[in-house]
Amino acid sequence: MPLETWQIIGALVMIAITFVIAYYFEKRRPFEKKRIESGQG
Amino acid sequence: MSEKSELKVPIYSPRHMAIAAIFGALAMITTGLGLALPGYLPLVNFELQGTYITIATMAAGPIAGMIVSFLVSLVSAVGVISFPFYFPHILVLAAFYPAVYKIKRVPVRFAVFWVVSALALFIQYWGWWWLYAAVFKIMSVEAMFYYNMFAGPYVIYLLIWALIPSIVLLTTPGFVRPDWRFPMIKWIALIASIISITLGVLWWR
Repeated sequence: MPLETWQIIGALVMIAITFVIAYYFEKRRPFEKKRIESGQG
Repeated sequence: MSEKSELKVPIYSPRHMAIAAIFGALAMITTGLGLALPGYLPLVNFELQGTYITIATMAAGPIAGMIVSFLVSLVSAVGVISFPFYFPHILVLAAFYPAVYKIKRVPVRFAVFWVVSALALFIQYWGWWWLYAAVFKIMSVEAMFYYNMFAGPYVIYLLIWALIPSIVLLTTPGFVRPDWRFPMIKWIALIASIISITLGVLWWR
């Protein structure tokens, strides 16, 4: 049974959203605390 | 007792929680809308949640993977009973993934990721075969084994569980950096694997 057009478009949209979210987390680093680099002393 | 100078990695941070929520939502939308490949079993399609469960596990650890599996099981055709049967895959992947991520050569990292996914899927499968044989009584574990391993479904599920995540690993490695921890992950993964395979083997015929 072949896939319907809306299913193919929907799957492609979901894949695109996945990559957008991955890219956003990669570049903007949301929810990450800024780490204070501490040296010796 | 000496103090550790390095930052303690949280077992579950707001970032991990956000990733679990986002990918849980995506998995629920995808499965709830019926975006699935038809033809696995009667009334059961090749659902795509494996993609989201894998990415959540890579980026936010096994707890996130388990949360996504629970959320998606609420809208899955198999039902909420199914969510623990994802755990062997999540735990095996989580046990090996930090080591996979450390591999410097990208093609080797990519290939080893596929090998680990294939192993995790194979281990996960036994529990599902038990579910279909013992609970839903669709067909025996033996029949499920031969059908899945030699008639195509294993390859299709492997693509679902590994293709998009492996591309994410290549293109946005910072996002899926394993900055999570899970105590005794290797032992827990081993126990989950033994339970999954034992269930399947005991209901072989």
